[in-house]
Amino acid sequence: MENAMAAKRLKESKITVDLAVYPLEAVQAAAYSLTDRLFVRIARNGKGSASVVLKPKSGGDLEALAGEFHNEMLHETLRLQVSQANQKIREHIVTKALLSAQVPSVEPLAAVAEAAPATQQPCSECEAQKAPPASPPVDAELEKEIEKLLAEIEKGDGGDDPLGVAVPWEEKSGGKTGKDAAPSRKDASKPKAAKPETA
Amino acid sequence: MSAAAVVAELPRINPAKTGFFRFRRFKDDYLITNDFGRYCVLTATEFKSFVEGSIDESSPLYGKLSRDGFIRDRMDFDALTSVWRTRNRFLWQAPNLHIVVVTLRCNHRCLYCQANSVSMKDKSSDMSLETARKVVDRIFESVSPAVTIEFQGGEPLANWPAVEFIVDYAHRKNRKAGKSLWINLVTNLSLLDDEKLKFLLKNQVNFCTSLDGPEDLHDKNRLFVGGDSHAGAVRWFKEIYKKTARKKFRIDALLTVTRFSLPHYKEIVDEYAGLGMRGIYLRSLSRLGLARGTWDKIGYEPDEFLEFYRKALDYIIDVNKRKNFFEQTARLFLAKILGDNDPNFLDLRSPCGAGIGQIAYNFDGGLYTCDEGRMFSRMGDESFRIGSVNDGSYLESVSHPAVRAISVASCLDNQVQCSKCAYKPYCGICPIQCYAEQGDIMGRMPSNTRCRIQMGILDILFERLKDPKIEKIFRKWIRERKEPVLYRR
Repeated sequence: MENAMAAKRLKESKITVDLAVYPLEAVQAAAYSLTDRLFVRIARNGKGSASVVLKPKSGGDLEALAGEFHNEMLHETLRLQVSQANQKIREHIVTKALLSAQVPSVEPLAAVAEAAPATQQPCSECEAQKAPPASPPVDAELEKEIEKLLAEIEKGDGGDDPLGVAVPWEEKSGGKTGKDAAPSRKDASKPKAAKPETA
Repeated sequence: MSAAAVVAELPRINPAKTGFFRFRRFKDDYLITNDFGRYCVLTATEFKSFVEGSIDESSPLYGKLSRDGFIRDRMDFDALTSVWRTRNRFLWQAPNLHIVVVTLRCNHRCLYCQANSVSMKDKSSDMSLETARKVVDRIFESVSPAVTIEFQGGEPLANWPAVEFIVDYAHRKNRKAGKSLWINLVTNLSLLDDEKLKFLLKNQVNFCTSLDGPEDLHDKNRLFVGGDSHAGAVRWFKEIYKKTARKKFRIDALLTVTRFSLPHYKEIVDEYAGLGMRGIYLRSLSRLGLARGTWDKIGYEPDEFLEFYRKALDYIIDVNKRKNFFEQTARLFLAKILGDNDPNFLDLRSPCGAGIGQIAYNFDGGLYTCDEGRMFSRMGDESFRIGSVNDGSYLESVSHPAVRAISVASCLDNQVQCSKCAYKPYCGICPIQCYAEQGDIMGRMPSNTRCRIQMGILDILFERLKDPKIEKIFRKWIRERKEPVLYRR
């Protein structure tokens, strides 16, 4: 029995993660990215940290996989930081692009389905296309409209959420886990449109 | 084991200097990309400096990163907005690809057939002329100024009356509609004759046939009880190629890579180049239709395909020393990597084109999000049916819940892995292939076959792009992109 337990332990790696260093989202994302090779179990352990159990799906070097998991946590943390730091600026550009493109003279665009292997196939040349339409100017009025929309997004009253589907799971079950969460990370992860009842 | 020990390795982002980027470890380097499709390969030291906002402002690297929208306080919003809009211009287009399945009958029994074709004797799957008329009427309800009608099957020529009627009726309707009309016939060419060819050429129909490589390989994949599939296809190919020379319409061929193809990359490329084709499209096999049952025989792992692709691409690059010859998957990706014009390849955009860029019309008038959706119908799964030409409206079909679900699933911003992947600006997913492989239209990218293949191909392309000589060849492939085969009568 003892041998069996020891063998099981050897096939798993348990990692304790400091959630003040790595946001839970980064831990989850790192775990997800390795789900082709690992079974992963994540649990909050109640002290501002989480425990992650990694188990290779089919052999593999457990130590190397655990190392890869660590690197992925670093990468995912950086991705979150970059994303959060640039969220408004990206929303601004996309909103401006979407609104300013509402002009009538859009050139025809050819299309092609993905060439699905069958008895016969769509033509490989179907993707040919005309040159893109010239960029329409963004006038002052449109600029104001964009600013207004961006302000609405920022206020967080961009849309109703009567069913609470925009509320992250961590917030919904806050009674159980909220005490242990790293407050600054949690706040940062809150979607800007997730204020259903107060709008 | 504690993760806290490695925290020192994490570079600290400078939010005032570092603009949005995605990244991927690329051997010892980092590939960074952004929402505008711009990319840069940085050494580990450069990457750290970039993230921390400490790159020397007088350096060429800083200049490049600034020009490409990576430096936050150097962004030209108007220019970047324009680039984003150009790269996503398909968002403002209605369905313009209309795939019409005029019959499921086929005289071939290809090992990988996705269409689940039926025997030539079974005429129950032939589209009636009444349905054909309704199909064309529905196609012309699309608000898109460009319309492509693409005949698929089965073998479309097995129901020649429907093909002839649709070509003729579409042209007649278009005299009033004035759309850019393009008609494409996807055929194995075995049922073609001089009279049919004359009609098709007169009506400026594009041809696309299947050619799986040299005779032995082609005939092994594409079983034809009526004779030699390869010989027939090549004979007609040469004749049509000659007759369409210097015309706006033409004939092309497509390859499906099976396990049997893997060792023969050179012979396959030589076959295509020898026939005078401008390029080849190295497409991996999908586990749909018959391929589901024959997978053990003809399928392969993503790594096996990628090995084939890498060797074939390198051979094609070598061929380019003698003549211009491109690889189509690479060309589609390179158009987005090295330029701003999205080729509107419906499975390489976000969201994909299912229902919003294309519609498939089955022989009975049933409408599907795309040809893959229609193929599921053949397997008894009607999840992707979005209406019928016999009732409902165009608007109801394009706003059908299935279309909305697939749009959501194929919008890369909604995909956990894709949204942060360095290849997002160039890639796309097919929710129906996810559904086929993983039972879920959202898919799970870490273990998704198509994702692994796409990422592998992009890895190979970015690796090759490091060589300036190869980059020059790649740029030539993109410059050779032709204007559309769109015409008015």
